[in-house]
Amino acid sequence: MPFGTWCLELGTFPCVVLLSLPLSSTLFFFLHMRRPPVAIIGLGAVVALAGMVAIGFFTPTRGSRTLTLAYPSLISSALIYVAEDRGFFTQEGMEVVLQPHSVGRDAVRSLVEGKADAAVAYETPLLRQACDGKDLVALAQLHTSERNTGLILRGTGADIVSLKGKAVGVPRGTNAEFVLQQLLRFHGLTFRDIIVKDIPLPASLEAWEKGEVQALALWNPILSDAAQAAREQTQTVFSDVYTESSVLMVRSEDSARRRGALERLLHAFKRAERFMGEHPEEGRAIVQRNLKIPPEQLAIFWPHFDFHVTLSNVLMSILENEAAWFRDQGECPFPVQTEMLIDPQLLRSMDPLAVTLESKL
Amino acid sequence: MTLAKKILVPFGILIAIWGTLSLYLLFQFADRQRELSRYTDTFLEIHDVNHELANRGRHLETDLLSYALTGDAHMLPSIRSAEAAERVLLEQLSTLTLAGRGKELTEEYIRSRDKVRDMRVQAVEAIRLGDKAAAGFTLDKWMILTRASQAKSEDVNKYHSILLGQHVENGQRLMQRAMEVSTFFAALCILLLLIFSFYLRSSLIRPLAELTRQVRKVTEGDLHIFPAGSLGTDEIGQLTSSFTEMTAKLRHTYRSLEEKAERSAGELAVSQEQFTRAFRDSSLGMCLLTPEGALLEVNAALARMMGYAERDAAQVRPLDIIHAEDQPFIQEQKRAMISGLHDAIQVEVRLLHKRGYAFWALANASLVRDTQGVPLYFIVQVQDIHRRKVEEMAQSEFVALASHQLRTPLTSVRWTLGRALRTLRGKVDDGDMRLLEEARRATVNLAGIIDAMLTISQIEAGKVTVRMEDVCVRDLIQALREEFSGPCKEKRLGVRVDIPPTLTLCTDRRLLRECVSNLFSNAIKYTPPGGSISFEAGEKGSDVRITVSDTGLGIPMHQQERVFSKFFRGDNVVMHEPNGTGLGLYLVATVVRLLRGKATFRSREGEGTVFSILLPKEWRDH
Repeated sequence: MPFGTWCLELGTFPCVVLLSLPLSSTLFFFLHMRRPPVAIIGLGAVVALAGMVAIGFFTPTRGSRTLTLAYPSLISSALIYVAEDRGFFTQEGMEVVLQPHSVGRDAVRSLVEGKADAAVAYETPLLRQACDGKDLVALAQLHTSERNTGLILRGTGADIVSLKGKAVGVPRGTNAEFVLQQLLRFHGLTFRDIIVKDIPLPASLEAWEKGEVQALALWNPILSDAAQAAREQTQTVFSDVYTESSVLMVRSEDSARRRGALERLLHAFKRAERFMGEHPEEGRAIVQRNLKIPPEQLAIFWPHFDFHVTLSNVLMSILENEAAWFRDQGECPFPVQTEMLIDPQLLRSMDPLAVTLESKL
Repeated sequence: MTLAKKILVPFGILIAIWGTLSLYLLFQFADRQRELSRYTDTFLEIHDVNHELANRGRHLETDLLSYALTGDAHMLPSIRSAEAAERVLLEQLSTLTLAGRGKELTEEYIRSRDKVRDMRVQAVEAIRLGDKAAAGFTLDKWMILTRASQAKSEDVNKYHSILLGQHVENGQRLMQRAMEVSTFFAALCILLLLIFSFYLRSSLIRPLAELTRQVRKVTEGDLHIFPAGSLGTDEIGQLTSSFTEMTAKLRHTYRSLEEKAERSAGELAVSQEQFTRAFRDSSLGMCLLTPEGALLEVNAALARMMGYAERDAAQVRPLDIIHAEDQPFIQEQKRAMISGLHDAIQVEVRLLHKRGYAFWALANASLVRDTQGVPLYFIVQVQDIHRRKVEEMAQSEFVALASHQLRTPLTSVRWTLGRALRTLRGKVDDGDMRLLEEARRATVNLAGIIDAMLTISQIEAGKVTVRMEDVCVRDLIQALREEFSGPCKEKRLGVRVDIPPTLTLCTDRRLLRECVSNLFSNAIKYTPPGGSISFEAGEKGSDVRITVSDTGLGIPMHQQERVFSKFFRGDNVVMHEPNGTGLGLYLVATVVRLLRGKATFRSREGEGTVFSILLPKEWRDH
């Protein structure tokens, strides 16, 4: 263990004491011995030792790595914005190429296609890729929220049941689709009872404004924008039983092959998490600058986000729910082993407290 | 820097650092232990509550599903009761003191349980109303929320379990670190002590060894030593410096002593030669005696005086040539000299000539001692005084005889004059009366002189027999005070007697009275009216000292050496008292000598005189 790390673990005071011992003793003998050459040699040795210690302390023991990270340009990617803005990637010896996408689904696709080394997306694209036979693993959750992805409906007092036979816009393959399914389910409807319109995210607002859809299943801030853009009264509903998570995922073979780089990446995210905890206003300002959301609008959504680098049973629970839905929809030709979609080892080795996931394997 | 600082400062630094480090580790460990204990309690409580909540949840799930299937309203109280118990448990969970992520997870869990409860209430209501569709949806949602809540419960448990594990691990790690630090510090201390021992060797042991070597050289007599290397400012340096300085002074002193010894040896040889010549050629008889009394050497004059050839004289035993009657006295004087009572003595002694007759000799003896005071030998000078002694004895006999013969007619004259003064008073004129009075006074004075001379001559002729008895000094002096009260009163003299009533000594009362009476009489005579006279006495060792002090005319300094001579009178008293005999103090000295005592005085002219008589308390025959 490097002396610097050892010092960090033990505390500054003992390190100062231990370093001051040879220095003070040398100084003592320098002052009192009548042999200056001996004392000078001793002092030189101590200075050299101190230099070696300092080099060992300040020089990173891990080499630089380059990594392309695909992610959606959403509030849920706040830790990525903070890590980049504060230079945590660089400080961890990483060169991270950021690859923004409109939705996490596309970011995952980029990962699958090999255009990115890692991707951040909600859990749904991960499961969908698994159903497609893609071997991806989640390394960590970067956020959770219960009131971000929802459904906006036209009219006051509108009921989800009233959507029967009407067009509802949703980007397919995203968690919004799962949220829509849940909301319909608890009102006795299925996708067959409505007209599902797969709308790309950039076109979603336009379709909403033109009245092409009666409702729109999406996330903030688009939900909020849609509410503002609507000419009539709207209402937004959220699922009582859904908690969204943005997940850092990599190709399965890379989780071991690029372990060093991924560890540094996670370290950068952990530093961003600490920064968010210590400077929440500054963190929010960074997100606001990156997403160009009006501050007052962001302030409305911000309390619903929980930015922690974790791996929890909640993720597993959601994955299981979604896996069951996929199975019911016949979209997954084989049963997905959700436990296989998560690799907790890396995060656990860095921060055991962050991994509360009970392994069921 | 002093030696104490040199030794104590490094040890002090080490002990201070060690102590600080130990305290720091101790406090750290105690903190970790407290934290661990706190988390253990929290974890156990969370675990218990969660476990209980899970049990309640399962029961509720069973009850709710049964209720949904059967619609039996009797199950509602059981469901309500289970819900109440769940609320209590959740409140208990919310009161736990948690922080950070643990708190957030717990709060999320509690919120999820609230959602589960809300959904359950909705489900129960739907079942109660018989709305099967709503009941189905709410039960579905309730099931999903229950699973999500269970997941959060597991998160909470897991989180605190890991935290507990981390605290345990931290405690163990701290212990391990403490061991590592202790080992490291011990190694460092050993290293520093090694350095310090080298330092001590160079600054303490080596100078001490060098100093020891130099001391050994000095012990062997070699004073030519010089400091090796530079001297420090510590005690060793100062000691070495002082030692070098001391040996330099010693060298100088030794050289001076050698020179002095050489000079002294030369002077001693000259002195020895002079003494030998003086001894050999002296007209006085001289001899050297061992402290035991054996003759070492006899000069020619003494050999002649004793009637021996010079070579035979050395063979004579000294006691064989001393008159038998004088031998005890001589032996006592010798012992007194050896014991240190006297350094030198002068005695008149009768020696025995080779032909057998005795003759008087004056012997002066002094004892020579070595530097430690051990007696080496006596140097004795002997002078033949036989003729003078015989003449003195004859003279004393004559004086005694004359005095005795004069006393009878003188008494008759004194008596006659006394009677004439009494009978002719008023019948003759005053001028004739003054002449008669003057004649009577002269007669009395003459009688005093004759009495004194008679006493002195009797003492000198050895005809006075000392009669010893216990004498109370105070009583004797009080009697004299009574006797002389008339003249004292006449001259308004204050007389003070400060003598313990129990003070006695064994002596001749008559002779002691003669002495004190003479001193008292002199004090009255020569003390101006209104003066004072004091008597004091006390023991001094084996003697008794009697002092008579007055505030009289005193004795002129230039005459003080002749005070105890015959017919001595001070120049300052002759005009004041023309009728003195000048024999009083001579008589005192003679009597005191007879009583084996010593008379001394101290006086200042115009201020007074103090006479002291020192007499042995006990009388021992020689």
